Amino acid sequence: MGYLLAGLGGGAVVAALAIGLVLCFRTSGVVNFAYGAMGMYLAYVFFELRRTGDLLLPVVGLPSRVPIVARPTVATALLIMIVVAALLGAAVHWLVFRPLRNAPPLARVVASLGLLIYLQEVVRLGVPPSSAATAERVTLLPENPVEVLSTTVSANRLLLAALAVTVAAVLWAVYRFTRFGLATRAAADNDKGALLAGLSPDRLGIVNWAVAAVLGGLAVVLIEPIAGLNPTTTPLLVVPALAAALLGGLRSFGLATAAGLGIGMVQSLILGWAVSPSTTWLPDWVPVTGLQQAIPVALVLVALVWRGGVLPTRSAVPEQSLPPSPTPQRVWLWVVVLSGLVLTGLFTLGASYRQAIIVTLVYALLTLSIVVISGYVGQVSLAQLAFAGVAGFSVIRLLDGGVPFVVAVVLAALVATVLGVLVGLPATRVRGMSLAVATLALAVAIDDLVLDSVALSGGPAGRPVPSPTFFGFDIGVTGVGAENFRPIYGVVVLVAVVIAYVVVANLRRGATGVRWLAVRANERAAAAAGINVARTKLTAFALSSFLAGLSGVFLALSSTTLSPTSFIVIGALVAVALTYLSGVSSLAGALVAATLAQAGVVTTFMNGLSGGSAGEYVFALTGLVLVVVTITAPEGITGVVRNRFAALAARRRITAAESA
Amino acid sequence: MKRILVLLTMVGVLGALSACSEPEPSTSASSTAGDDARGAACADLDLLACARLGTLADLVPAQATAATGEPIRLGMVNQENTPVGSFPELSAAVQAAATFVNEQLGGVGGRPIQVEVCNTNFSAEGSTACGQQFAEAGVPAVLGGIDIFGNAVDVLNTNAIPFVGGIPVSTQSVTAPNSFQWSGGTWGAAVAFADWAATRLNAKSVSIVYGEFGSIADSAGYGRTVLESRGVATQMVPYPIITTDLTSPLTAAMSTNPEALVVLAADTGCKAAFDGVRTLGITVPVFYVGACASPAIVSSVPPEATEGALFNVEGQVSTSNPDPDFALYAEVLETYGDGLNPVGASTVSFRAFMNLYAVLSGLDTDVTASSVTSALAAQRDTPSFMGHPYTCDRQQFEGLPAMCSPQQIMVEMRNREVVQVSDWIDVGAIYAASL
Repeated sequence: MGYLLAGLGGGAVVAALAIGLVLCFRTSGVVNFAYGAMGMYLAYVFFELRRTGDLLLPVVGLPSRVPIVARPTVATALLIMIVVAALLGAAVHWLVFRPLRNAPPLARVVASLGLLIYLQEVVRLGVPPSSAATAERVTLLPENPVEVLSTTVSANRLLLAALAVTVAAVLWAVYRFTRFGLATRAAADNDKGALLAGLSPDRLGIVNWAVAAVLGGLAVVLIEPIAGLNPTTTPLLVVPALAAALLGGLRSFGLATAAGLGIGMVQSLILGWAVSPSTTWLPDWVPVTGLQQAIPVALVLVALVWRGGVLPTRSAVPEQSLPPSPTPQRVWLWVVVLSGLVLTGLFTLGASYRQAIIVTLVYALLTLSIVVISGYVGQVSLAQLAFAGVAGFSVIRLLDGGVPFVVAVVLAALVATVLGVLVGLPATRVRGMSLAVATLALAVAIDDLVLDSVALSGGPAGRPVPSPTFFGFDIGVTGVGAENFRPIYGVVVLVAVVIAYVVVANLRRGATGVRWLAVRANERAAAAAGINVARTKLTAFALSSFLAGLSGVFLALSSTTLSPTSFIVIGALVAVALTYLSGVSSLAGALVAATLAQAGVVTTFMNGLSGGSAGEYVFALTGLVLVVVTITAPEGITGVVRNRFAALAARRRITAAESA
Repeated sequence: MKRILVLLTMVGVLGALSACSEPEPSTSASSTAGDDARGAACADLDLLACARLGTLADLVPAQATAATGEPIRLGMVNQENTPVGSFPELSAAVQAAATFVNEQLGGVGGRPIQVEVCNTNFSAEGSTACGQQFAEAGVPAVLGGIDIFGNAVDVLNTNAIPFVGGIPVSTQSVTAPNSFQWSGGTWGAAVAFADWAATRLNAKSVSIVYGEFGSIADSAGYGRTVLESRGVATQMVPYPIITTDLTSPLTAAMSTNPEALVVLAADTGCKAAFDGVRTLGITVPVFYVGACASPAIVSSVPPEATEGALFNVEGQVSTSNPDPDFALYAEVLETYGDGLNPVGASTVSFRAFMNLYAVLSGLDTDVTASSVTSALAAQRDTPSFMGHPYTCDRQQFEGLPAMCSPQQIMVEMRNREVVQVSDWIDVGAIYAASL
């Protein structure tokens, strides 16, 4: 009983956010990864108002804050925050998710990620870090201990849990019985039908998003004494909340709330059981906190896979397919030209630029894996970096065990492949947003149970990386002084990238590519045409995870110490976002995305030009660009360039024809 | 599932590291360090006069002297300006110290010190790039800030460049042959707590509640080793580092009815720990890392939540014997620090800079990576700025050879005042005796 009540606080935090996620999804079919970030920004609006009387503005470039009320009371600050929340919710709906309502799930994932990063930056730029750490907070709920069933629990936990249940009940009643609620449900399910019935889906959307944002802001303000508040961690509370919302099928307020409270309590019970001196059979390599975190993940997965397409799709809102996937042409010409460039760089530039080139090459393998699975086959996988991590630590073990270099590389990548196929299994049952969440959950589980295990990966401290040799010849990356980032290692990675690039290009041009695109376009049609959809997806997962594994292997070998921190889930989200930004359906997109990697060629050359002062607004702009690109140019940078060239060529042909 | 976020949220994690190593220069939880320390030790004195009272006494010229020669370039690796935690105060404190040294103490042999800060951008690649940048620049030493990856230390080690001070959060920073540290990190805290629980409290059973992250988890193991060597039954309760509700881990920790509780939390977890202890009505002695004694955190919970709590610090906080170094530190920040708050992890980077400055000033050869390394390695019982005298013989703390002065002091919170209750505790010797 003690454990159950101890978990109530954590559970209430999860439940409070899960309710809003359900609301967003019911309204517009969006799994809003930025929901926690919206709540976080709004909570800062409230606390900064109370502290300074300034209003924190959400627009980077404008002054970050304007004074509006000198020392407002709690009620005034709360009221202002509610107004700001409503406006923010409406704006997010109108500017971001309404234009994306027919976009593929990947686009919506990327847009909400962009929004998350942007809001984080708004707060980071607007609230000085010292005051963020020491700001005086206003406690709205009493925190005194209360005795319940002979266990003490803090009053705010009980009240918060009760509040979450009440809000869920009120929302349920509103959407069940009021005209507004019924209209919303009708419009969400069939917006054309709703229009015919005289309802405005857009207006309903705005109101619902405004309500969701207000609830999010209030939730984060109220959970602050339990969950804390900072621009980095608070937005990520959305992940456990997502698990709860999913267990409620993203439809049911009541189930989501119950699941949220349940997750907190189950985690508490697991912890109590795992650390108890009487629990002796738990293997040493299992990290206790990992176990605690992974079990709710497992529950989500079981629920997702067992129930199949758990996320209801909306009947009359056709989803656009992914951007067109151009057939790779002149593959060998590109290989020769780009390899020439890379080799010239490796043998003529200084060490820091050689590092940038090596980082880019390694990242190219990762982005290529994303193009294969997401761009070509249309499956959103957020677990690619986890595969890379497992392969990276595997190759260290294999090399330490004396396995020859090439064999070790292939074996390590195969370990990732096995994992990839396992992660791909849910893809045979679920798709779209559900798959994105399932792979995210699996990535978290791999992180928690494998990458963070001291026995398997050395734990957070990581493992020292041996220098590889090839037939006795040192091909390692490390050298002294300006000799570091030895070109020979760059050549080794280049060879791997070229092989991967050519293999993927050929597969894409052959029968396999046709099957991939058929599955991507329409699974039922593909099946009707005799394509084994499940097998096609699993092969793609295998290839994609092999490529991700290769990238992990070469990432490990280009370092002196490999830390699991290199493979945290957010990194996978960033990789997917960068690939989408560059063009997720083409090989060129993968290559462009790779140049944009952290410490890759673009950032290194820009730092070189700006004298090392990477702009203060870089992250905020990245977030903004992600949102804008998903809305305006879903085909990505390379797609825009390609279309421009195609248009030019067409115009030239017309001019030529006319003059002839 | 929150775990994923953990790493992303280095704010808490890194805070934890400062947790261990931050001395609380204040004797009062409700006032700032600077005022107290200055009032006590350097009232009405100018910077030079204040400096003459402390560790730097021998290096203070008769009157303010500006350095004019060719600059000595030093590197500094830190994590700044990233959405996953930013610690500019560490480099700002170092720059303030450098300005003071250059404008008033005459630099090193008349040459000013120029500190170039490299930002890791919170990535292993960024950390490597920082190491590479300084290796190619041929700097004689690189100062630490916060870098959880530690790849920079690897690169500097390959190039035989010493890596000095900062907040030791990576394995390399506490083990690499080229690293020299003036803090005990969480390891020092955990050993001091374990020793105190076993020796002073005579506890027969202790629970250690710790955030599962790198150095914190590792140091929890150090605490366990000491406790078990004294026959104390020890229960280990890890929790995900970003957890901010510690009720559940504390419930688990109390299930075995321990006689003392050790909480190794990130500073972001301190309030949660105080709240949890109060809610669950825990009455056994509880140990917290020094960062939890920060006035901002302590004042956010009711007085009864912190009364009697035990903390580690790495500097003397005795009111009867105030440390003039703290006064100088606060005054330098006030003069050159552009409003930098003296309470915080910046004490650690400031200390490292001043100790390195003293070593550089004592060199009778050219300032090179090799001469600086030799000089650092030769230090025995050398006075440390705002800290315990240090010895860099790589024998001070088993398993953590880079630590030159891991010693700790225990303080207790009484009526919201931090009261020093021990002299220096030689955690290295205690740990060695436990093996």
